[in-house]
Parts: sequence; C-alpha cells; structure tokens
Amino acid sequence: MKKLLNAMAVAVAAIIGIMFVSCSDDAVDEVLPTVTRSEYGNVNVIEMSAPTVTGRSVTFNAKVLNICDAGVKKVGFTYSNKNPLPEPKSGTNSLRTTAKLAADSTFSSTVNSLTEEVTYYVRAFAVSNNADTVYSDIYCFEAEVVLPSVTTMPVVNRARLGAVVFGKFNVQGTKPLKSWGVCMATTPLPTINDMKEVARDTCKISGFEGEFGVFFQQLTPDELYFVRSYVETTDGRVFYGENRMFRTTRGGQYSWQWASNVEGAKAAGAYDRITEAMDSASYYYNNYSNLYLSAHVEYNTGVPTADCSWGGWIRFGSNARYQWVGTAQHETSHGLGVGTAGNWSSLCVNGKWVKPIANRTLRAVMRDQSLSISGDSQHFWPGGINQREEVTNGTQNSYGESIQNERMLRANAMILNAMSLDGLGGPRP
Amino acid sequence: MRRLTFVIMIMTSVACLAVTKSTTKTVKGSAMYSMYFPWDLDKVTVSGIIDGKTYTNLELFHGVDFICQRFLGGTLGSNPLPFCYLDESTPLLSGGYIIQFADNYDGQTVTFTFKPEATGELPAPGEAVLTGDPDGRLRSLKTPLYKFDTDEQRFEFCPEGKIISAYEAYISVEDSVWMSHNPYIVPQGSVGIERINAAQVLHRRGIFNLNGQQLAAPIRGLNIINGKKVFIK
Repeated sequence: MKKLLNAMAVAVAAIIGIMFVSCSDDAVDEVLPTVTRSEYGNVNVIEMSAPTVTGRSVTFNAKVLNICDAGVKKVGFTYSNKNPLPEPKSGTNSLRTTAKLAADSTFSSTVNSLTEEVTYYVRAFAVSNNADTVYSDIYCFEAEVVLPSVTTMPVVNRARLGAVVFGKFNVQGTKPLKSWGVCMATTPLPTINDMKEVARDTCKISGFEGEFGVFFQQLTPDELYFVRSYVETTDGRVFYGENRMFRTTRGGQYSWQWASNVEGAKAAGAYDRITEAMDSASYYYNNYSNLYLSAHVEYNTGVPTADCSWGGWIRFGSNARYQWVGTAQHETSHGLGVGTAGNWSSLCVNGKWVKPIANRTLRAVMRDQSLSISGDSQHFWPGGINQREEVTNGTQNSYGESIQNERMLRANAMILNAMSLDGLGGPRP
Repeated sequence: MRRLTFVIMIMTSVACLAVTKSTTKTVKGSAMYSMYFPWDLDKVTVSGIIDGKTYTNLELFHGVDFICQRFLGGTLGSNPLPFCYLDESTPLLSGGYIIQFADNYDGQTVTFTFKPEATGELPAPGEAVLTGDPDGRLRSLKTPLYKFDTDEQRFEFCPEGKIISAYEAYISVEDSVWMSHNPYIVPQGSVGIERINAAQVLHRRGIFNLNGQQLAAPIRGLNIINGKKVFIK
C-alpha cells in the first residue's frame, strides 16, 4: 500500500512538472510544489481538472483522492495572474476561493470578472486538520475574449425631418463598453466621427431585448442617409452593424381650414391663438410624420377644452389655455384615429399598445428603453400631450430626464406616424 | 441595292427601338443584391404606396433611392478584393453591380428597364470579374465561382459551380489557389467591415445629365452637379 501511494505521489509530481512546464517560464519551474511529509498515508492527494472558462468566468473542479488520517479542514482554489505559483495566503499576489467538500470528495468553485488577455495560474489546495497544506498540479488559463456585435435594424419610422433608428446587440461580449448608439452620414458606411446619437440603455422587455434606439431630428428633407449602429469598448475599439440606408420623406399631407364660427373666434380674440396652434401642429405633422389629414376647425364656446372626431373636425373652446399647439396636436391625434378609429381597441388592449413600431418609437424619443405606450379607450401616454405641462415642464423618463418642448411635440408626431405604421385606421387621401 | 440597305437599316433601328428588356426585384430593406446588367440600365421604377403616398411608375434614382458598388477585381492577393461605391453620376452601363435600395422601398417590387445596347467594359480574361449571363438568361456553371448569398450578404466560394439566375452577378476568379484560401468575398456595408475603401469612392465633379454624360453647362430639367441632383427650370 505504501509503495502504491509512493508511486502515486511521484506520478502526481511528474504530472505537475509537465503541466507547469507547459504554461510557465523556466524560472518558475524551479519551485514545483512538493509533498513534504514522509508518511504518504497521512497526506491528502488532490487532482484538479482543467478549468472551464466561459467569457470572463471560470469554474474550477477538483477531487481529494486520498484523505489523510488527520482529515480535511478546508479545501479551495488559489489563483493569480501575477504569481505562477499561487498560494492561499496573503503576500503572495494570489487570491483564494474556498469550497465545500462533497460526499464524493469533489469540490468546485466559480470565479467571475476575470481580467481579459492575461494568463492566470490556479491550483487546488486542501488544508488538513493538522495544518498541512497540499496542492494539486497547476493549470494556466485565460479569460475568453468575446467581442461585442450589433446589428442595424430597418429604418421603419422616418419622416421629412426626423427618423427613429434602432440597433440591437447580437452579443454584448466580454469587454467593458464605453457607449453604443447609431451613427449617420450622407455617404455610405458612417462612423462615430460623423453625426451620431448615443443610446442611453438597452431594452430588457421580452421580444425587444438588447435593442437600443435613437431619434434623429432636423434632417434634410428628401435626402438619402446612411446609418450604422455601433458599440465602442473602453479600450477604444469600435464595432459597427451593417450599413443601412433610408431616404427622408416628402412629409405629411396635413392641411386645415376654418370651418365654423371664425367670426366668433375673432370677436373673442381667439382667432390668432388657434390659427398659430393649428399652423404649428401642421408644421410638426408635416415634418415629423407622413400622415394625411384635412382638418376643419370650429370655435365653440360650449366646448370646455377642445375635442375632435375621427377625420379631423376640431372644436376649440373659449379657454385660452387650450388654444395652443399642444392641444392642437392632441386633438389632431384623435382625428388620426387615437380613441376614434374602428381598430383602436384591437391595438390598445388592456391598457397597453400591443404593436412594436409605436412602442419602439416611444422608447427612442423618450431615451428610455423600459417604456411602453399605455392607453385607455380615448387616449395614450406618454407622448399623447394630454396636459400642457407634459410639453412645457416636460415628461420625465425613468432616468429623471425631462423630454420637453420641441422634442416632445416632434415625438408626438413621430409616435402617431408609428401608430399608423402599426395599423391604426386613420384618414387616407 | 442602296435602297435595300437603307430599308434594312431602318428595320434594324426599329427593331432595336422596339426591344424592351427588363427584370424585376422585390426589395428587402437595405439588403444588397448582386446583379448583372446585360445591357445598359435605362431606369428603375416602382409602383405602390411609399411613405404614405401612392405612386405609379415612380422613377428611382441612383444615389438618391439606391446605391451601387462596383467590383474592381483583378488584384488577386488582396483580401477582401476591393469593392467601390459608385458616385451617383456614374452611368450604369452593362456589367456587374452590388445594388442596395433604401429602406423606404422594403417590400416593393422594382423594375429595372434596360436600353437595347450594352456598352459596359467587357471583363478582361484571366482576372477576377463580377459577371453574369450576357443575354439575361439562367445558366448552369460547372467551374468554381463565388455566388452571392443574400442571407449572409457576401459572396461565398462554390467549388462545384452553381445555377446562376438571369440578371444575377457572380465572381469568377481564374486563380484556383487564391480561391482555395478565400472562402468569402465581402462587399462594403456588411457587418464589421470598416470604411476601408472610403478613398476609393468615386466623385465626379462637374455637370452631367442623367445618362452620366458630361455637360458644358446645366440644361433644363434634371442635372447632376458635383454629385447632387439639381433641377433647372
């Protein structure tokens, strides 16, 4: 028995030697771990299998082949990317992870957040109750480097001056990321040195996971643009999605006219306010949507705020607070089908918009990929401009950022354009 | 005899004018297509609802609605073999191209109409060329070639040869050793390809008509001035 153990110890030492030589330099070869006790029956013998590396994580597995008379007090792994002969004690440039010894004498441990592109050394250890520490052979390994990869999604929601562009992570990779988003130019293969919008986050919602979207504004009408999603790592490398292209459109076909009680509006001093509100709404819908509406405006003192039926008969009341662009856009959205189209209830189900384009658009314009459109039988939010303050004070996203003023008015038109693309039954020319 | 010749000439001219050669393609977003034009391209048109408006035979323009890359070829040893975006004033003569439409035309069926003649440069033998059937027919090839994979958006080496559709361009390389070491040839615009050939984008400054012919001065109608489409009333 003693001879057998002796032979095993020699074999282990030989294996350690082979392993060590294969992954370390000559200087380290001089200090191979050795079993120090002369009575082999009283020492542990540990065998470790090759570490399993997944990205920046590694799993170690080992087994105590022979538990000594003293028994095992502690088992674990010691590893280092500086010391080729790691030791489970301080002052050795080594780290330690302890493990639980299973009934079959195996033990394992997982280490995360490895540093990339450096060599680690690891060996299992066992401390016996009589304070002896024995080691397995040494393995070396490196973290698996996985580079990030993104794809550029089709540019579906585009208008005369604006477009919502989405990218998606195929693989986040193992490298720390500096930023990601979409870059754009009027020549093929844009880079981050061209026009770019940085995305804030990625979507965690099922079916949209890994997506990020940005909102490009004030583009040139009827112009061919090239876009690529990108991701930049902290070490300065940039990875691009495929080159896509879209053309900004010729815009919406939104027109309006006074249809009733224009004299009343003039007499009440509301004419100029309502005219400016409708002209402004017309500007936003013609430039940030491709929608058609021929609106008719009525001044009606019996209307407490304002209202609108499908097709665009808009009634403004006498309250000046509601004679402004936000109200005009809100009522226009009713004219385009919000709460009025025959299929509204099939698109806004149980309080949620169920189609993708409008939800994606909302996330891009609000710079928050956790959002979805909510709604009831008549309205939707956010982005529906149901209150003046949603524009003037702004609408906050979950990061506390306030989306307000022009961006919010543009956003409303882009969302309506997206709802139409999702199938909302609005008027057609 | 002279009269007969004259009559034959007229008949030939009429016959040439009567020829309308065209093909269609259903656009899948900004995907690239490898196309071979057996004859010079006359125009590209589309009918349908695009961005909320209905169009019938809307003419689409190079550099405005779609872009083209030309395979420069002939430089074996470089990898990837170079592609080059063409300036919008470059006339699209007979030959092979990578075509890419704007996302606006996703799902639309576009029609390519060709002129009766083919004036593009013939591929030089012995070089790597992007080529296709000169008569716009389907053909079966036994020689090794690179065929464009629309899913992967790259040319893939086919050692056994393939069926090549009408108007489809493939890359023919004479050097079998080079081919054995290069399983793919990737056009610009695919994932992960940097702007390696930016310097090769051809910019033709000057005034051109829509056929790419240089003009001394702008004419009434559409001109291409320094790469921009300009309408002169």
